[in-house]
Amino acid sequence: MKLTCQTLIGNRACNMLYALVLLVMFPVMVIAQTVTIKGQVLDDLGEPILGANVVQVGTTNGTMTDLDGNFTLSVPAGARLKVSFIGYLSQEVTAQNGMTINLAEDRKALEDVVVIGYGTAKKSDVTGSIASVSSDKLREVPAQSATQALQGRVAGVDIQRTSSRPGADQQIRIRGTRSLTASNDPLIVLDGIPFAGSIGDISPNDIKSMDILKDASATAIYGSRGANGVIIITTNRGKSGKATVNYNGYVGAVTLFSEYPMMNADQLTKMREVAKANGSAWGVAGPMDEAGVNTDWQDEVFKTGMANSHDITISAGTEGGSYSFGGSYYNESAVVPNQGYERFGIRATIDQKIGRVRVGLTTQNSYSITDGENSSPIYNLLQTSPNISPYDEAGNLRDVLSLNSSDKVVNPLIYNNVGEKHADRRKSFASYNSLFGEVDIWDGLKYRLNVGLNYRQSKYGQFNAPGVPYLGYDAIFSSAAVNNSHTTNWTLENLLTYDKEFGKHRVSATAMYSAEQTEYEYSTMSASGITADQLQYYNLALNSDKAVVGQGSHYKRGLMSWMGRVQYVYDNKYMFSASVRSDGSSVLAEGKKWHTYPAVSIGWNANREEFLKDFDWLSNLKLRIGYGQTSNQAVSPYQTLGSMAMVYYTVNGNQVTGYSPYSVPNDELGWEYTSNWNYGLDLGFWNNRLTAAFEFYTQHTKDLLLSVTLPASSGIQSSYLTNIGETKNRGFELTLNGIILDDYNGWTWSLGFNFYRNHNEITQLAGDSDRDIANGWFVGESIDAIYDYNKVGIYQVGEEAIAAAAHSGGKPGDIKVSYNLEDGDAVTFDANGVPSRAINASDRQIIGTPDGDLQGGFNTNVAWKGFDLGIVGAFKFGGILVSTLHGSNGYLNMLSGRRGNIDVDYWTVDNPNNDYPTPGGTLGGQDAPIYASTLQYFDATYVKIRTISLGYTLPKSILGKTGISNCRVYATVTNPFVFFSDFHSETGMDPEPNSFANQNVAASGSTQSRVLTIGTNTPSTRNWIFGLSLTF
Amino acid sequence: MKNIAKFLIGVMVATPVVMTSCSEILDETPRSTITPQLMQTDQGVELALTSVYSSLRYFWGPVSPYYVMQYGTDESTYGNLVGAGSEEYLMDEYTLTPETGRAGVYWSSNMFAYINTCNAIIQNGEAGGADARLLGEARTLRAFYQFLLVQLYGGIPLDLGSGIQAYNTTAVRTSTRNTIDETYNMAEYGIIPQLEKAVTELAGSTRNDRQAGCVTQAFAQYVLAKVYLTYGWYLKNNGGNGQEFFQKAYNTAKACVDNPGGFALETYYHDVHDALNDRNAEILLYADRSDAAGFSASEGDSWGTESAKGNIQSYAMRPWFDTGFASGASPCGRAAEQDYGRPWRRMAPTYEVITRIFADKTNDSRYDGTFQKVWKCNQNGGSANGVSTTFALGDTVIYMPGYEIEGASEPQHFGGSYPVQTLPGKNYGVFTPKHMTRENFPALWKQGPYNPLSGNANSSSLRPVDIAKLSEVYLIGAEAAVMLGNTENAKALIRPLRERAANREENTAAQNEAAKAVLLADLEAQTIDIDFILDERSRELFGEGLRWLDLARTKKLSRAKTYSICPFDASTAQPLTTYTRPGLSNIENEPNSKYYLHPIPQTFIDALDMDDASKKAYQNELWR
Repeated sequence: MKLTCQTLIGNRACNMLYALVLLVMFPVMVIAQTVTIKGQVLDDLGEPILGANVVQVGTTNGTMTDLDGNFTLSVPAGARLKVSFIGYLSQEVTAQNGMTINLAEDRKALEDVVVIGYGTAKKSDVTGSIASVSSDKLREVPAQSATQALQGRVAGVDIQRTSSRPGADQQIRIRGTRSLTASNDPLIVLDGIPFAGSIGDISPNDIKSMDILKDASATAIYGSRGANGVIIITTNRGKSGKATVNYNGYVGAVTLFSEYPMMNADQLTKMREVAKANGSAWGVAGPMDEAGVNTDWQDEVFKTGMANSHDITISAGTEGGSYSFGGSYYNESAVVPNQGYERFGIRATIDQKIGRVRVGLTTQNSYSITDGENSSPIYNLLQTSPNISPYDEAGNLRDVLSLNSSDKVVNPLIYNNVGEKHADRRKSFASYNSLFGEVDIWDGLKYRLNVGLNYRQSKYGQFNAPGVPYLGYDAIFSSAAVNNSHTTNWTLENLLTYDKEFGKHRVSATAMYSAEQTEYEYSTMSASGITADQLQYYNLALNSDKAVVGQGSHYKRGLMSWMGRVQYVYDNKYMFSASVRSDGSSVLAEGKKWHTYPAVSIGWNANREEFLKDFDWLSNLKLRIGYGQTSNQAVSPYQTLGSMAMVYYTVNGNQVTGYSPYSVPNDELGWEYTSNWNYGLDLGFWNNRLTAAFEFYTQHTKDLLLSVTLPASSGIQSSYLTNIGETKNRGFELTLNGIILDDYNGWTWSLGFNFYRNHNEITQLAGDSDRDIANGWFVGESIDAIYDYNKVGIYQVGEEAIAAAAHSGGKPGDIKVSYNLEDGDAVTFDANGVPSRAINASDRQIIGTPDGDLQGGFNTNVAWKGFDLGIVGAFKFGGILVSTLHGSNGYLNMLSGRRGNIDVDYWTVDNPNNDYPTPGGTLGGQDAPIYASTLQYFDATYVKIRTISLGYTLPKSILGKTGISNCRVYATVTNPFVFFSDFHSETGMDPEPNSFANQNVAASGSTQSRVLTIGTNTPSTRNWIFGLSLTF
Repeated sequence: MKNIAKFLIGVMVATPVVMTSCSEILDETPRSTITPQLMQTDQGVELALTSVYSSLRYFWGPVSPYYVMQYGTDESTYGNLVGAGSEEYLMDEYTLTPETGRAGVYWSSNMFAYINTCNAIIQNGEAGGADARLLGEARTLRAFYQFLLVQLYGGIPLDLGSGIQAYNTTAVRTSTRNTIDETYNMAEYGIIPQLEKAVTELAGSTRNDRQAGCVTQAFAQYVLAKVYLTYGWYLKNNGGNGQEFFQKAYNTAKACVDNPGGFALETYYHDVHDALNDRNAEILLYADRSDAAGFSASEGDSWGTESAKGNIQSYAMRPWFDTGFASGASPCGRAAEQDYGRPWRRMAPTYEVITRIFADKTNDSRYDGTFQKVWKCNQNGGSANGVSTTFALGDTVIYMPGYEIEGASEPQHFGGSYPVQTLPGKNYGVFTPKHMTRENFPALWKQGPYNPLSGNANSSSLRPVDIAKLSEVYLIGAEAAVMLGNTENAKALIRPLRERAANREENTAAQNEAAKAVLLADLEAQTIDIDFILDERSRELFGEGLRWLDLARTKKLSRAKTYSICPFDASTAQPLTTYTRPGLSNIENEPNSKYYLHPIPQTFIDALDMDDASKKAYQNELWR
């Protein structure tokens, strides 16, 4: 869209219109005798206030106080002056030369304010479910990104890493998942503008607060984007007063949490002997195996990394305005070679008041460098036999290692020294900018214009030359690839707000009209046989193999919206809020583009009622009920149009291309809708020294965007996205916070807990079917339900006949899985327990879900005379943890002797346990033991201490006249302990997932790729951090 | 200040006006995808035809389609890396079920999608006045795909959702199968009338006259002859006599043999499958591949995973040649060359194939043009092999002559990965047919890989896969003649193949003449019946992904009931064992065994939005 506003303003009709408005709003002033008044504005403590407004009442004649609180203003004699400053009660006084005005602090204004969509509200007025996290809470966990710091801090907000690699993103789920095909990611709003970037671009230190809107009564004003919750990030802005400089920084060592638990040389040799005895062809030593060699490949390659974070911000208030600006730097190198993350940030905010108009600008810019996002050495390290020495007899580093299977690998030690032969680097530049103008039109009526302009550019380059372990040992040509993506986004919002108190009535109304558009462009090129290594990926044309191959993609999506909201509070006791939003989106079918979303909620501050007045200990009792409808617009653009697929063919050795019909036009595609009920109870005791918040909710999502697989006979290749199916979520959240000791002999001790449980269920799928096995969806089960064979043990000696009947070649030492007696084909068992048929696909069953029964976090803080000790933890009870390392797709638990093997307690005649099958037993798919996929399931329960911090704030007496007003030093250790985790006890590893199921495995398998699993990703780390915060 | 206020208020008033007029932000213009409108142009029709050629790669190259055609036949069985209970195993043992995904691969993959693409080509091409040549190519390929489906699974739906043999553009989730009779012979729409039309449309087309590797009249005649033959067999097996169609099959094959449109038999059998002679004049159609730019990036030229289109069937019948039979590094390594490749050991030839089908390895050059006998030292030249001596580059490391040799020892273990036979005074290892195992067997040399450019032995092969050879047209005609009771006509068509089989480039003309005399005399001595035809087909077409259909067409699964091979054991040699395939244990008395058709895949039936009774009825009767 072209912004033709200015041309329109030039338009005569418009001129007339606003001239008319101005005439109404600005009464003609009567000119009278003028005197010059000089005065000073001070606060209650007698300190001067800088930037206070002094305005002649009823006019626009006004000024602001300077650094010493002084002002000079020419007014008619006897005029009344209104003196105001944010956070203080305004005063009206008669103008007198030499006057001193003392402004009193506005206690009410200091009451907690939470950010709601398109505005703020007093916490006591809020009727929806909104959780706020302040910057000091975020800073308790020194982390690369704000979402990492938020993990386990808010009930109902499940944040999990999707990768343990530095610079990787987190997955955020607010109150569970509800969508099968569309995104389950919440909407993020940065400084009022919907955020079209990457959260990792924002330094956590720049964040003032994060407000999480969880229920639809709160999110419905974001309409088609509200279904998955909304996270509103507010960054720091300048404050009035003298210039202050804030520094926050830390440095730390990044150390290994644990190695992957692999068999050592002796254990592998012993396992191979068992495998060979059982008939495995790989139960033999390889050509390079040597007795007495025990190479710990992990130890040879893992190193200690470094984390570095520095943020500096300067902020101040000036006449009528304030500003802040600063820079940040973050750098983390991983424990594995050639991986790291570095980020530079520059930000600034300006707020300026010009009479009735307030204007402001926020700009957030970051440049980040991510190394090694596609370069993981882990699988290679783990598969290489410990019986092989990295050095030959003469002590020289070997290039290629021969394994016993006749497979070969490049010596993993070369990871440590790849030089110019390897590059894997993403450089991203992002600029997020918002500009606003606000004008007081009349008595609480304000108009505000928000303009957001965002740009994100990302360039990725990869290069590998023969000889590096990232390529196969027999690679002849180097390979190189480059890709570029650009995202531009603009948002324009027009807001009218009205806030007014009439006696006991308080009304707040908002109306908005907005439009936004996001455009994405992507291009990629690849080539092989780059002529010299140092060229890397910088000029793909200089290759000696094939022509450069390029591809691109592009989309543009737009959204237009109308929104209205009314909030009404009576006597601070009864609250009512209603909103309606209408969204139109470009990505849906004609005629289905627009939809309107209603929401309504009520609240009651019961503790303010007369009948509870006598209960002094009850400082808060609030009930909230809300209902709203939202939707999910995460349909990719152009889905409604149908498409042709490009394919390649060869004629005379030359490539030709063809196109084939792929998907059919879809003129029915609409959004999926979620209706949501939320019930909340807030309690406060003893002047809110102990607070509790309880929430219960139900969500019902219907018209699910479901990708339906068409039967092959339809002749249509792609699946068909349509609106069928329903899911339900219900759950509760409980948040408890208390100050146990409040300055008791100098000790202060606070404690907080949050617990939540979400129950997710699919209630309807496509057609009449109650199961979609290919996608792993089952009516009545969680979206992420795991469907597989159910391991019940290992066939023991004496069960030969049962094993042989259960699967072809079955014998003791094989995995024993149960028959599915409900859905499976009929099976009977004879007197000896021998089944009448073999196990087959119908015996797969739902064996659980990764969703926990109860999840949450806790934190505690003990302070004494400037010292503070903080502990932040998280926990999960119940659910299934999937470790692809232990299953058949990781290739590391094949128990055949072919590769390095996870150190598991396998079955032998002399060790007849029920844990892991015997090496070299009956094979299933992937050359793994039959039913080996069942070995990957563990109990997901864990309690984890995420950080322990010890800090010391230097007393003012020491700082004295240094100019430093605050100084705190601290030491933090992250991931120090894990308790109650079966997986951790068995393997020593971090029980938090690190990959999606299709990532960091040797072969993809039956586990749905959306499930988070533990695979061969960068290992978890334990960081030892020393930090410093300074204000002067 | 007032100006700013004016500006803001102006914006407030103006933006709704501007934005309403800018409602095009809700419109979509795709700039990086192609919409189906393309099909309405001439260019779109041609591009769609190219995509159908590209789809050949889905069915000739990847392993699943190959497994369907080769497992459980009298030509091959599973190799040592096939786990008990795996789909490969179930297919070979005839214990497969509708859940055995690989067995349903033709039905449940995108063969129907490319049939529908042909529908679009023919429908839009006819409407837009496209060249009959293009229509004939699309019609032939559509009939060819439908022919494969009906042979494997029985009757198919000719109506995909928008009418019989019409371009389907609706997202239907139901399906109705036509009968086998209708599929072949429905007036105007069946495979037979459609192919007859295509043969006319392709009249006068010759090899490579439009584009190299395109469908010509000769290929259409090949398909039509085979369709006639198969439909004749179907009628005969179901109470009719099929003579009319056997006669049509003979006539069509003979017409093609007499006037092959530029195709011709190669002089030497060996050259038909030599990687350096790919796309030769004997190949009627091939699924092409190459090392051309862009090809490998998008079509799965990587560490040979089972990517959708990569040619990895060449790995399947490769023995474990690259691990030493003695301790120490193997002197014979993988290479992207026809003699080496990647040893996948998923499939092995049977003892009977080596010893009975290819009994004459001297006069008949076809054994040497099919299997590999010798593996040579190609790496670690000079390294000790642990037996007694060393290998130099080019020395023989493993020798599998295909017959028993005087003086060969019993297999012994030398500390390597398997026991091996030896010969006095020789340092190499030997496997004679009696000691051939599921791990160590003559490799299918025909299909060995050839990747001179990437050089990556583990990546999928960039050779084309042959779909139809002119020599098979001779055998189709011969089979039809046998069914017509005319053995002279049958011999007349087999004779040229035998004459060619006698030729060896390395021999003198006199030697070749002598061999020819032996092979022709043998032909005269044979009883020319269907078993002979099937034997001769194996000699000519072994391992080319045709065999299961041959046995199904002729109701000869009994030939696959038993086979022999040694089981593999890494430590001790196992005796030659004769296996009986469980599902075929009584096959000679079961002419209507369910195994003569594959089941409709369960995943497909699950995807239908129909009631349970209709879903059940959709399955082949004996598989319900």
